[in-house]
Amino acid sequence: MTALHDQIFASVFPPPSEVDIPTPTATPILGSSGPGEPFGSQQTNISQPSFETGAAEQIKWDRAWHTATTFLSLRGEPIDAEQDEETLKGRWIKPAEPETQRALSYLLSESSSGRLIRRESNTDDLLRWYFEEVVLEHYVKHVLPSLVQILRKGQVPNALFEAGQRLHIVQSIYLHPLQNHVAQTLPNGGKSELARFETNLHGLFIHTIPQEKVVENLSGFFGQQCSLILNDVGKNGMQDSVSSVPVIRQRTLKVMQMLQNVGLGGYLAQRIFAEVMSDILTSHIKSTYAGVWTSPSCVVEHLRDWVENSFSRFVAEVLSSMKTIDASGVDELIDVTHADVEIWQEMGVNKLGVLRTDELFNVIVEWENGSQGAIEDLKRYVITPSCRTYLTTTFSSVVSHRLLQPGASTTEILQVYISIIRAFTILDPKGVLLDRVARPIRRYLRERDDTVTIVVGGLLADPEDESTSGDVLQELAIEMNKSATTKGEDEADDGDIDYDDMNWMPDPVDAGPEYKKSKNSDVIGSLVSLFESKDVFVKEFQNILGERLLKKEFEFDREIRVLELLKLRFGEAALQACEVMLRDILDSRRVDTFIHKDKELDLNDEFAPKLHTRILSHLFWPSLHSETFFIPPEVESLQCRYSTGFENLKQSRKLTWLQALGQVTVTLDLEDRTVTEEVQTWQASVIYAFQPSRSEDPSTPITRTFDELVESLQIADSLLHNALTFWIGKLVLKQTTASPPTYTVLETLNDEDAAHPGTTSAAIAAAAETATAAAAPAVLSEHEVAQEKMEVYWQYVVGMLTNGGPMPLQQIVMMLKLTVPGGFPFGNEELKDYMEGEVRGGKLDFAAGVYRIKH
Amino acid sequence: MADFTLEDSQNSAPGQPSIHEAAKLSSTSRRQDTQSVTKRLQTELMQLMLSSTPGISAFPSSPENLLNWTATISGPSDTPYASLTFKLSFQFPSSYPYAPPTVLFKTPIFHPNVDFSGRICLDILKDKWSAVYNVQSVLLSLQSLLGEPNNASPLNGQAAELWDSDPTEFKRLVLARHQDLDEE
Repeated sequence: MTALHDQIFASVFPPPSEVDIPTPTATPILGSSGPGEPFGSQQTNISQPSFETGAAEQIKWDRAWHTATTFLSLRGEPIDAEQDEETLKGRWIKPAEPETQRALSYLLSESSSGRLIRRESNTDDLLRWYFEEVVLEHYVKHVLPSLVQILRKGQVPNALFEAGQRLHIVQSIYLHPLQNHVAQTLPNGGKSELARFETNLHGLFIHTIPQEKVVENLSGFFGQQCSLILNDVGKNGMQDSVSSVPVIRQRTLKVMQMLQNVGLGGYLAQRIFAEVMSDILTSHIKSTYAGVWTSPSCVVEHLRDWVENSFSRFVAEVLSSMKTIDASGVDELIDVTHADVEIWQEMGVNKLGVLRTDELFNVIVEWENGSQGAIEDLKRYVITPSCRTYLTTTFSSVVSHRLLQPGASTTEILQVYISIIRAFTILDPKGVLLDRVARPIRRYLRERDDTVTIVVGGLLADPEDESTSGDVLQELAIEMNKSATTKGEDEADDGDIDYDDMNWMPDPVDAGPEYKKSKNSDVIGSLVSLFESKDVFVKEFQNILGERLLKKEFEFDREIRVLELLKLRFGEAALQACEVMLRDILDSRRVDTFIHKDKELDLNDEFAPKLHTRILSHLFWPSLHSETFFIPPEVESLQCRYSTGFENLKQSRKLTWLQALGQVTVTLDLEDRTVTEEVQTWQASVIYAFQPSRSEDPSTPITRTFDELVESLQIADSLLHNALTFWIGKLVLKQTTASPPTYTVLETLNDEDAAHPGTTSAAIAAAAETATAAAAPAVLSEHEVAQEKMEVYWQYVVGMLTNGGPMPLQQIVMMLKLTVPGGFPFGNEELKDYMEGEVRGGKLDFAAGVYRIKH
Repeated sequence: MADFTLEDSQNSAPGQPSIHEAAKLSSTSRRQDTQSVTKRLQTELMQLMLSSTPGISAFPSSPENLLNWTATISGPSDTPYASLTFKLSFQFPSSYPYAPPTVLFKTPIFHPNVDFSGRICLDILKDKWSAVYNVQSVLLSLQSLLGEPNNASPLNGQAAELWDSDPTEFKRLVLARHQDLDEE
């Protein structure tokens, strides 16, 4: 009602502000005289437009223009999106009156005379005017601010939805007069003009609203929706919202369509959609396949299936929803072809490969628990050189970051290295990748002192023994047994190319030109070849073997087998010494029995000590502990008899007794108890020294001081200490005075004695155990050997100082480095310690920074 | 065996032929020579250190050059030189061990076969040199030379004379001439 009232009012008193009115409607048209016409003559036939004079026509055009623009103009107020459609329509859509319709057709129709005259100019294009003067102004003034506010303030995906809806309304209001009234006056139904208008409108929308917000919102929206839809599908209905998936899907498509309608689709949306889908693919792979390493692996197949049936289908739907509107004019064709699906599958496999590469270290750590599947997946991935490089560089950096650290024990590193070898052998049978990855690990392992020991220890470990601690690489023993059985097949490998091998594959492209798979690429071979020469390895093996041979009873099946296997790898010659060592031990048994029989050592009464020996060929054994001390005379005489027996048996050979090596079973008869212990020889000797001598009264407990014991036994302090601690721990001895240290036998274990050390005896016993363990090794360690060599270096120092006069430490070290064949193995500090010891020992003087020999 | 025949030809002409020979070997093989000499001297040093014969010792004088050694011998107990120590210098030619080292007494010594500048008259350091000799054997020879001088070819006539005629005066002169170089 109001609108109508307004119109009536406006027709009489047009509002001055809105549209300028060229001439009053009521003014009669006078026209102007045409060329060749008498001025002032009246024209009556106005109805024939073709004969209209210019001025009259102009007035008519202006009138029509006025009517049309009045009709097209919009209210200068924001469109309230809260209201429902009907209200909005009533408020914003004006009914078209016949006059307006006429005006419009005069202005726009192809056939109208006004149009014909103004064909060449475009200043009078009504649609353009509508867009630039009305729509633009209205949009900028009233729509844009609220849109920006929505996008800035709103929550990420919802704001977009809201903005989209608002734009949709705005657009339909803008388009309404055009579609309903203008279009039919245009040629061909005004399709192209409408489309152009719409494109302009969309351009306006896109360029005015903040881009980054749109991007943010769009990707947020896509991300949310797509992950909801696809992951549900991907997980085969694991989530409870399965039923809502089609709903979400439908909604997504609808929103997509709406956005497309208001021009927010298009390339921008497609680009964002592509990005989001790529992310979705990544996150899907991550969430679905991370940590899924079981073998046989069907992850790749599963992934391909998912890409084909879920991913691609969804993409196709979204793309087609984007396409629908565009089909009207623009010729962009978005279609999902089979080739696209294949590309996506490849992308998926690649992304899976990247995931597996990142996981590779964990996969390898978990190797024992069955993670072969991951390697099978990776195998599909490492088919191009760039993938292979990516794999090796990534993995190497992870390894150096996580494994090659002081915190990791050598055993752990070796364990992982073994797994790496196994995994990479499956991954790349040609060994190129392993070669690249293993280098830093091998270099690092070489720097570790205990690597050899652990490797050799592992080889000799008992694979069936469950109880061994984590420090022993049982792995190796198992591997050793395995490789013994498969060895035969590998043998043929080292020749030239086998022309009958149907499975032959060329070396990978990234293998170096000289690349040749090393023969020792299996686990044992790799570990054994860690060291520059096999001598290092053999020497260590010899040490450990010696240790075990001396410690164990007569059961050496394992040692014999390991030795045989090593012989296969290293050849007989390298392991000759070990062979001899084993033979020594085995022969010892025979010789021992023989001598016992020959010398009738067994026939003594049962209280006499019994003696069994191991006879070692000195030359072939590693350096052994050769500390000497006095042993009980009974045993010594027994040794003498034994020696003669041996010399009878083996002409021109002599026995040298190594007193410090061996085990003694001691039975101590104390007043109130009997103690039986399996002890080291020096411990036995020490306790024997507490045997009452003839001059002593056997009824009182025997007491000895530390110095007395050193004197009577001629034993090294360290060994004596060890033995005393041991017996105190066993509650056989007791320290009575601290200075001088005096020890007494605990003949009777009264309550006080038992209780008083009771709290500490366990600790002492433990200390004694460890002390024994530390002192027990039969074979000298590397360090001890070096210490022995120090004697030789000392001679050098003496020679140097005797002849060269006093010298500072630095010069001594320099001289030693130059003169000692093979180099001087100690540093300044170590030599300094040693020199200081000699200064204390009175052999050297140290003054004014120089060492001087004492004469 | 070839080694020995080569030496014989060298030793047949006493004096300089070995140096002459060395010059002929020219610079091309010099480097290798030095290397093998160094190696040999290192081995000798090792032997010397391991055997540690009482009364004699020797060691390279400087870390830069293994061809210069300093040696020390102590006088045998039943000789006028008892309880005295003598320093010697060894200069090894690059053709060592095919040519003898040049040995000089650094400590002033009153001895029939040593002149006042320390030069020694000993056959094995001249024409009787052989490649089987080494630092140790030279030092042992010198040590025994202290007790049993070769008075037939003296470098110090007075000493040769007094050795037989007046042991007391000889001993006095020995002690008068001797002075320790140790603390320089």
